[in-house]
Amino acid sequence: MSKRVVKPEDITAKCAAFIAEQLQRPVASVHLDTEFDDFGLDSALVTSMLIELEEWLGVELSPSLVFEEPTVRRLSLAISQRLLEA
Amino acid sequence: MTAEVLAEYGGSARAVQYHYDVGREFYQLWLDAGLTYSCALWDLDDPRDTLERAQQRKIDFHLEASRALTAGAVLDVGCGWGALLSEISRRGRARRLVGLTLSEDQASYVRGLQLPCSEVRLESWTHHQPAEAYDSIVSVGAFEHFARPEDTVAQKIEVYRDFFSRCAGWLSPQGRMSLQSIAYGTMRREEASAFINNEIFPSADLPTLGEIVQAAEGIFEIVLVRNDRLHYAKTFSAWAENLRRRRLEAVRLAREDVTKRYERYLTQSSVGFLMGKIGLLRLVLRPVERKWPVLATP
Repeated sequence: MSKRVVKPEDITAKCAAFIAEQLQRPVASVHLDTEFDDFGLDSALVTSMLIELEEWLGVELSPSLVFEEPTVRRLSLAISQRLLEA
Repeated sequence: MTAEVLAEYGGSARAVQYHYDVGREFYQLWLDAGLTYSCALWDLDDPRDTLERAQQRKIDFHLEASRALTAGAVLDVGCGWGALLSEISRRGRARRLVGLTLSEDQASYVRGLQLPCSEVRLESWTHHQPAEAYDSIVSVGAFEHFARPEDTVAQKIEVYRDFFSRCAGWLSPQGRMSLQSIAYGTMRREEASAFINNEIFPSADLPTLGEIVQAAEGIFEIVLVRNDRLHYAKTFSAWAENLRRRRLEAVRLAREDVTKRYERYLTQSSVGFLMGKIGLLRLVLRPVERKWPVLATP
């Protein structure tokens, strides 16, 4: 895994695309400020999203991060912050 | 007794071996030094708390709850790699320590520790016939394996009740039991993850708190029950972090696909506990079929 320079918007787009694909709904309907549990994501999907982000960004993400930063926008910001610090 | 003839009732030997016999070296990469493969007890207010300290705190909890350090004879149902037995041996005064496991690797490892007065049996609780009464019974992370997904709820409760009734019968008058198990939380049985059920813990079904309580009714009184699911979320997260750090070695020991399977299992379990889909129960139990003077003694 190699660390990459990514903007928060890239992470936002990746998360939104993931949720849209998994829940089979248009990306436009995945609001960035909707909380993850309101999308109806289950533990398997949250795990897949974390693993996909980790592999893509080469960064370790604690499962609790999704609960501390429970929207696409907040999670993406937190991850990009972490990438800057890494 | 060979593993093949161990009965399926009360916990499948084949299923247990599938999970635990991946190779001890693999688990050693990401568990604590004592190889404690169950939920720790964290100081959640202390960000500098460590897995080692949290596992020690968990062991201390069970030793105190089951009064194992002052017991003459102790039984550990599902003794894993012997962390609890080792601690009792080091600090207690037991003249008889018995550990049961269905994993051949765990049995030979704990035997290799050569704990004084200890006996490790490759045996299910359903076949156990103690030579004498125990003063203390501990069971951590075994109860999860007792029921099968195809059992009806009534059958599950019957298996648990059978377990409780045997344990109560094996205990001396003042005996205590400490039990720790994962349980369903908000997740219903039908929603259990196919991934965890098929690839990680095949042939096992979790209890609910209600089933445990029903099964214990009239056999044990529940002195204490706590749900420490956030402690397990943190434990799984710590294991995932350890595995990540030692990934190269893990792949060398257990192949890429097995490592990936474990990474997913550790993360998904942590997420499940954070969501409250599953819980982590710790129960302290004392038998109720006792004479008045015993029942009136704390």
